[in-house]
Amino acid sequence: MKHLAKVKNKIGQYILVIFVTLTINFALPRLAPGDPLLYFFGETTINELTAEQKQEALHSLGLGGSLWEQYWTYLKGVFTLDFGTSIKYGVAVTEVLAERIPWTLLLVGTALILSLVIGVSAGAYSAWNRGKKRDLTILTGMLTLESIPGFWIGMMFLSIFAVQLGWFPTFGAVSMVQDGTTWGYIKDVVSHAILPVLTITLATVGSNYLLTRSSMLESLGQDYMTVAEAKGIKKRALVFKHALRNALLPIYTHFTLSVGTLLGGAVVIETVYSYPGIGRLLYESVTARDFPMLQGVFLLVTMGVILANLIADLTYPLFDPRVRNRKEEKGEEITHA
Amino acid sequence: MRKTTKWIGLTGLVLFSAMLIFAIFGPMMIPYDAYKASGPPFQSPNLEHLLGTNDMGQDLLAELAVGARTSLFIGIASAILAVFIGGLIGVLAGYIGGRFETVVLRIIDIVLTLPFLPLMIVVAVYMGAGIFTLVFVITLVMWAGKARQIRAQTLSIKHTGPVLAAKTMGASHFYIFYKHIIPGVVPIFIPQFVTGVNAAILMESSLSFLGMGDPLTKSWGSILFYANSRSAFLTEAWMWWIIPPGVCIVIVVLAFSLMGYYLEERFNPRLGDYSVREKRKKQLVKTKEHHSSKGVLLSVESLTVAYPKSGDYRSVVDDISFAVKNGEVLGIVGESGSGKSTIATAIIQQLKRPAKESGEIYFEGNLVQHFDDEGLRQMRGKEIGYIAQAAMNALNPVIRIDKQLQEAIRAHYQLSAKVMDERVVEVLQKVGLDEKWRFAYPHELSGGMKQRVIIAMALINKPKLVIADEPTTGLDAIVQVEIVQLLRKLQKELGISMIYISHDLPSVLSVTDRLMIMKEGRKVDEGPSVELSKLSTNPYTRVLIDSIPTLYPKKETVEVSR
Amino acid sequence: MFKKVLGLISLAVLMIIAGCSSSESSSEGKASSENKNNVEVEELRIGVPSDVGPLNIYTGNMDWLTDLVYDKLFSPSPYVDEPQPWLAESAEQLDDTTWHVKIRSGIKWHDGEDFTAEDVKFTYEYYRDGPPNRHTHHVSEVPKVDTIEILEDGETLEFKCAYACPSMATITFADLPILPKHIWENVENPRKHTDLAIGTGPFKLTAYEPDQYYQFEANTDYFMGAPTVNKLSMPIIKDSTAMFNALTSGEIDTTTRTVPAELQETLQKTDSMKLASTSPLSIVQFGLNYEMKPFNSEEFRQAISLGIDRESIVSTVLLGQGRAGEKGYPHPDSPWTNPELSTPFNIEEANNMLDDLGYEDSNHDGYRETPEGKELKLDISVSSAEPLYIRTAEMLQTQMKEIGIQFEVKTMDPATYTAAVSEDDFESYVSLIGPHGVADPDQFIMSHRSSYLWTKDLPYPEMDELVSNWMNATTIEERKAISFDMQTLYNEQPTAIALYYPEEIYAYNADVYDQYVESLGFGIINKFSFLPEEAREVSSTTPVQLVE
Repeated sequence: MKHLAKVKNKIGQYILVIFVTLTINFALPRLAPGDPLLYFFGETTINELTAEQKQEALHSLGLGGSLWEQYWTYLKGVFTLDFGTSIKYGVAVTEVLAERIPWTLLLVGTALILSLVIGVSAGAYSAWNRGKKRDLTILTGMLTLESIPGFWIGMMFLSIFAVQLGWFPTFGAVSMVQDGTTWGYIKDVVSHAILPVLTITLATVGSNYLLTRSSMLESLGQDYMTVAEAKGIKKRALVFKHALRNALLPIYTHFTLSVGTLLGGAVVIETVYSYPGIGRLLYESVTARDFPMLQGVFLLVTMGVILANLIADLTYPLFDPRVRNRKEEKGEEITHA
Repeated sequence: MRKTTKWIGLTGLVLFSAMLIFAIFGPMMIPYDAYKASGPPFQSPNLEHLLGTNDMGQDLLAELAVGARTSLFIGIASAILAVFIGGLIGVLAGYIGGRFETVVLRIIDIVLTLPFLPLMIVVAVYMGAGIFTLVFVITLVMWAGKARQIRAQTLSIKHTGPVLAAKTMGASHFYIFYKHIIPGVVPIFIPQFVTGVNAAILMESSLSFLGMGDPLTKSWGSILFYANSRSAFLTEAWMWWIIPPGVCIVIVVLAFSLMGYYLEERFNPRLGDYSVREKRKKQLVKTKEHHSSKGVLLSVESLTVAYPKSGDYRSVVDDISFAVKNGEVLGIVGESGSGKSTIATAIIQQLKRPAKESGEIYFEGNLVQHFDDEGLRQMRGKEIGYIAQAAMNALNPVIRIDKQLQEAIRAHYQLSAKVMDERVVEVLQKVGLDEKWRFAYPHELSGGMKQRVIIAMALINKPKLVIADEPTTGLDAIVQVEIVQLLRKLQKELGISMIYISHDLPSVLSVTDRLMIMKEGRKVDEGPSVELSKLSTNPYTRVLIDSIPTLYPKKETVEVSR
Repeated sequence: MFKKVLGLISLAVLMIIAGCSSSESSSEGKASSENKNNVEVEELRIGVPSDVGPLNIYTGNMDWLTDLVYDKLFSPSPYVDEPQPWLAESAEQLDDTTWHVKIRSGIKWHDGEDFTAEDVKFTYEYYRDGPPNRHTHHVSEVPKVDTIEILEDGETLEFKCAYACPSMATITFADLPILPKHIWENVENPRKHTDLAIGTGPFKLTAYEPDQYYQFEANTDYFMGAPTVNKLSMPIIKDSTAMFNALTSGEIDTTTRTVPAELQETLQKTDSMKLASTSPLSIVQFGLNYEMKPFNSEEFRQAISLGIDRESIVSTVLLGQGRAGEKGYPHPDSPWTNPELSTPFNIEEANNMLDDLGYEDSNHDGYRETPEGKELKLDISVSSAEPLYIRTAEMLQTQMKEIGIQFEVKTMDPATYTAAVSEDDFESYVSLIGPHGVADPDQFIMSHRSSYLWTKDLPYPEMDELVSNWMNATTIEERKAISFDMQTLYNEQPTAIALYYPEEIYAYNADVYDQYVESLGFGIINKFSFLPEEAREVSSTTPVQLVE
């Protein structure tokens, strides 16, 4: 019974969090001055419209009602998955999202995995060789990578690999003209994705590396490592089975949480590469004050984060047997730490 | 502290100081006002303008120097604010707990999903675009993550022995805070601050790049904004307009990272003192043939182990010699820090770096220091079993008991799964554990049970020598007795040699044949156990023996998840 | 009764003239007229810097793009001296307020339906009575069309205006795209209409992917001849650097984003790249909030105008690529602009005027105080997305210091900026006003009613008198003369001060396509660049001016 009450309490809390977040997402863009009309009429013509004409235009876009009416429609939309029509794009918000999500997943998802794999292997290697020259080389390399702004790497890559060398296209996710074959399409998508994926990977690999390295060092210093070594097991098993498995716990948490932000896209990199992902959509929708679109994107991002939290909560015990039995009281600290 | 760590820290400090000097004195030294045109626009570098001019004819070097002030200010101010606010809220939430903590945690959840870009716009509208707006927004976004991590750290300290003890003794909150919590969390403030500075500087540059910064104030980000919007990436101007601010950002962020690395290495106790041992090459092993004929299993000759301390090496084990014969149990007794455990790890050649070791250790007549890595590996676990101290943490928490036991077998023998399982069951029974426990994880076992598993693990390959390093530490008094009895029984049964290390003299006396007393790394007394306890005239031995019987207070160790 | 036949020029006549002149003038022209049915280029890739939706004129707004799909009664635009009949076969003014327009027959919409007089009637009524867009005031206000009737022949429309409307043909007919009735009569909310545009124009919009691209196919049955390009692909690339990266790497063949001054040299060095200079009929202006103090004073506004060194702005911010706004507002290249206008730079006079107005620096901080002795500090609002305007504003701030007026630049994100300007929540601003605003003669009147240059509710006797004279005037010449007076009056106390007239340079890959022409106010990427020689001749296009 007590357990049930706790779960209920927790669910209640999460619902409250979602509710507050949704409200903020609704209010925030509306707090900023400006309305979507700019994108309707263009900068020069908007000055020519009278106030009544503008009001009338807003009404016809479904933004004329009182704030409460709009809020109510918005909340209803959240549950019916109907976010209305994007003002800027003129089509259903869900349609635009469905169009963009795959690109963002491709870009950020691939980069996230690459960055994780590289970061973790380099971190583990570095930790195992702590203090040696190779550790220090990797360490300084990674610290340097971590200190370069992502857009800077991106712009440099574009200039060098796309413009000077002409190896990759300079913009977009696919070419407008396709040769019609599946293989050609795949090649096209890949060649568009390589530079941005590489950029995001390089910009994020440092933090994965550092986290792995310190987490590895922490477990390498543990007593069970001494015991394991004294058993005479081989180095490989020592590193992977004992040290890394323990070190992976915080990395796993970090990873699941960054999966949550994945849906938010990578605004800056998508801008640099003119990539049609969610991040750029968000940016464009903000500048266009496309309220319905913004609400859709926000909801996606919020749900992504909350879902990732939930997944982290639920799957963490699979990796850490310690939490399986005392999940209720400890689960939170572990996933949030 | 490693030398390289110091070097890394120093490099960071030098880079940072250089940038600081540039920021403070640069604008005074450079003869141009960064906000005033001082030449034709779009000039390439020349003698007058070392880095050329921007699109307004302003000197780029002057811009860079003034930009350094802005960027450093934004970075440091946001980081201080974020760490301060996050720290305060995190510590309070962790310490007070209850409803307050829940509310704070949920607020953090909400803040972490805040949409950054619209937030920036809204805040800019009400505060006006400017560096304070940037600082405000960056802080707003950053504090929550910091609060979360600091809360977790506070929580772990709150549950440690000293705090619990202080609480039961009725210490005031202020006292606990001052004495325990603050010293405990401050070390993690440092890396939090460093990552905060870095994140803030990178955020500022990204925001400015997107045109959401303050284009009227010179910062590295706004220089890049103009450079990009005035096509610098497309012309050769990138060399003097894009590279320098980029390099400045890299230098500062790198400087903080390097300093952060140093501080982390120095102050974060969690990182431990692990470092990899040098690879050992295959070489001819020096042998002493006569050992086996005399029944000497292990012989330690003039062993000295020293660790560096304040520039010098200090011996923790000083010129120790002893031998263990077949079937003999040698007890090593001494207070903590007397070097007992170091001897144990020296025998299995698992000394922590950067230990300096001299003297010779012969096992079965072979000089173990000459073993290569594979040779050592084959000796460990197969010939010499090791029962570790601190049973709480000696088993890998994420691996099942049977797996950990099987692994010990598999390291040396190739057996079928079935046979291995039989061995595991057998050895568990031998140490008095029900076979069902092999499917459990370490945390499901009590301290005594864990120690039995450790003993089982050390014995599973029927080694010739077992080193038991304070096997009863941290256990209940009753369990301690059980464990000691078990060890004695097994040793008799299997006829193995054993080194039994402890500060608990009564248990040592009950197990050992011979006794060695240590103090501050030196051997002070040695002899057959019974004789020694009764006849020794050594004053230190007498003190030890006279203080029997004792019950050691239970040492509280609450495991806190990370 | 005064009647003026503006155009009774039939297509046949035009064709003959065009044909003759081209065969006489150059062999090149002959060659192109010979293979007019042959496509010259299979595909042309044009990078566009913004996304304006599926070319719904109620939402999107990029005239040159709309123009590819839609046609107007007259062509090419109101910006030229004498627009010529296009969808119309001829137009005739019967009296001051009555026009007859005969439409061309045999034209089909992209979906195969016939284009009829009904479409024209529907469109004009829709614009007049329906929700406003950027074109609608040309039928609903200046001029005001009362009735539209289709005469018995079924091909002639009769327009009746509320007051004299001599400029129907030159402005209204040349500005309003004709919509297909069979589609638009079923549209419930024109702002939410998202189907791909259907027009009569030379190109069919075949695909539109939001924020990614537009795709057009040639309308081979086009009544002015099949286009010279079979397919237009237009990727949307917002970032300037990305756009020119794509151009230099050969991923696009040209772009409507004009070449920034600093990039000119680099692009010129690129093989096969040609640069064409155009006059874009736009003005970068310094707008003042004439409803608030101190800008509500005519003398104060004039003093500000006198205090601006426009030449130095052009040489610094534009690297000389443009002209200083010393010929005032509207654009001097427009045939409708008084060539005598002048807005000189004269610090001395500016200072004298301010002294006379009582603005003096009584506390000697380098800035004047108000006559009441209060501190005077004015904001210049500017969009953070427009670095060039920020720079211009920064220069204005410095220049205004010279005449003792304290300005401070305030940047805000584009939408906030637009909101501030349209809600009159600003003190001054720097922005661009395009051809429709500064080259369309009726628009100048509109702008004085819409609150942009002036507002209806604020009395302004001198201007009001001119406006009523203008309304009563019945000929284009008369109106032009009155317009010139209005412009002179305006520039003496401008509410939006012309700072500079940008010059726009287009870069294109000449190896792929080299047949561009300039249409005034549209640059070189306009529908005529992709039409056969004859169609270009009719439309007062000019050959591109290459930058050497």
